[in-house]
Amino acid sequence: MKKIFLVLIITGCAFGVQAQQSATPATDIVKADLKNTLANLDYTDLFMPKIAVSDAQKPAANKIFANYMAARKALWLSTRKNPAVYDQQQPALFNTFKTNLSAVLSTEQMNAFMATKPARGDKKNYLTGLFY
Amino acid sequence: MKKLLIYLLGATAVLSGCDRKSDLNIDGKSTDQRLSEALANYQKKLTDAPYGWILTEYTNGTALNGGVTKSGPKAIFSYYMKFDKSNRVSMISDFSPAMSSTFNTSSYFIKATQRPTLIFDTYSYVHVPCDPNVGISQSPYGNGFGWGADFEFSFADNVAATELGDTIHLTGNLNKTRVTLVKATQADQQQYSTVGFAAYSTFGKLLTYFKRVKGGAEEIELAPGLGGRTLNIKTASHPELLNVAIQYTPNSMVLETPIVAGGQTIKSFNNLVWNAGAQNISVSINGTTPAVIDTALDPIAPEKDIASNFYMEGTTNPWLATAGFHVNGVDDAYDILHLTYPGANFYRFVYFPGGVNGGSLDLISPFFVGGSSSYPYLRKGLANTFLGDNGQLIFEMLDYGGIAAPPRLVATNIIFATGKIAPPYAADSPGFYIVRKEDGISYDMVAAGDGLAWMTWSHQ
Repeated sequence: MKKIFLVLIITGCAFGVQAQQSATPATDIVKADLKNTLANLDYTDLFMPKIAVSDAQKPAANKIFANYMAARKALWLSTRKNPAVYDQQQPALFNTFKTNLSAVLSTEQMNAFMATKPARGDKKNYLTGLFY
Repeated sequence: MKKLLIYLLGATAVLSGCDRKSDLNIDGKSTDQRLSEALANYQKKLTDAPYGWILTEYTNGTALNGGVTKSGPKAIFSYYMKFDKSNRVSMISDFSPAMSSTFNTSSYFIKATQRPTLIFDTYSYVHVPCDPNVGISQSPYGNGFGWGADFEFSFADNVAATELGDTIHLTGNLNKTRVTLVKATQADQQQYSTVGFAAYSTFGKLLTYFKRVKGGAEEIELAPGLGGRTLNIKTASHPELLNVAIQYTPNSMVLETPIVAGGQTIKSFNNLVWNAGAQNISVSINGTTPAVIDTALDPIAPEKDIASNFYMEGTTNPWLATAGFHVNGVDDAYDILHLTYPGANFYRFVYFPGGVNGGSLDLISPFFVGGSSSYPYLRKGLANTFLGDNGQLIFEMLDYGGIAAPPRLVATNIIFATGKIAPPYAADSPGFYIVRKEDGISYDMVAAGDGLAWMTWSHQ
């Protein structure tokens, strides 16, 4: 009898969770999953395709990239209508990112990475969104 | 004991008052006989019309499924039907060009439910707008709902079948659609049999998003409403959108409610004739004023700053589309609805400005559910968005490797990149016009290069 009650309670919970999921707006679902996807993205592969990054370095490096991207996006969103403020504050964010990355990558790797910095305003180069 | 006897006597007295009347006491016929006769009379009414019936169904902007009601655009669906005595009905409808002239035969019967009810009991054109599969119903309500149309209709005139006139009113049993059945004349039958819903197929030959009615004091813009069953009407001097449902006939488009546009009250566009050379349509407004409906590439009265506002709004609240591009007259032409990735199914197309790379890249990508990856084609769906001189959004689509995109996604991304459905492509993409729909919260992204492709976005 106890078992039946337990099964009923678990089934009820499962339906409750399902109902909650279906009630979640689609916008929130796609946003949350994008956050997840980006958190698990191999940024070293995306931003440093020609630089060998070891498997041991990747988790820490990717976390630093992800944190920087989140901070950069927050700054971008808060300054969308005032790009001058963004230009003023972004270098400090980037310097923190660079310092953190230097602690994970070797000097050679860092130099190679910094050498990929595109010219300011080069919209065709996706690294522009990383360095500026 | 005494009390018990009193109760028993009382009960006997009450029960003896319930005298079951015989079924045979009205004209010597049983209830079943009378019911059968009444239903037979309804069927006779339908089958006795020698030239058939014109059925027009007006949805009311809601759709029910499993106790859940969704709101959405209204629509009018028109049918020409011929009922026969062996419960078969042949029909054409204004749902698609093919259905507008190819007769389909299915079955029907009249049944007594709460009221005498006309039931289309095998799949027919009537069922298409009810189909829960959005790939079939093309419904903007999403899967499971159809258009809020019905396929079981109660007779609503509150008179005996023998007293029904040449116009019969019905009510949809599930979605409460309003339906009129009008007895067709011989001329009607001849027209429907020879050209079908020709006005529908003729108007459908203009494939651009924007269309212009030229001939009156002022040009009038016609653009599709949500789901394409209504028209959004604007003029330069009256940029506020007027949305009106359209009823198609063999040679006319009748507006559900007359509108005032371009200095005239418009009730209908009549006598539609396709001019193959000029690629436009000759019409007469209200059957009297000659005019031409032509294609147009740009909006007649674009909303100020709409593209930049659309972009900005998307940065915090991504835009979602339930299907891929409408291309060259075909909804979801590249069948994005059935795009799959191992173990996962398409859920929405996502446009998330600044969604990736710390806000520096925009995401235009399909989103999947049920698999290991929600954005398997993320690296194929990154873009820079620019604002064009005429208020367009222009996408520079980027390709950062990753897994290969399937052909239908490649074709979609080419439209995003070029603002056109086919070559020749301009060196700089003309991008997309953003057009607010009649609900005020959905937007069409219209290819500015040729006006032949568009996708509908909203927050969901």
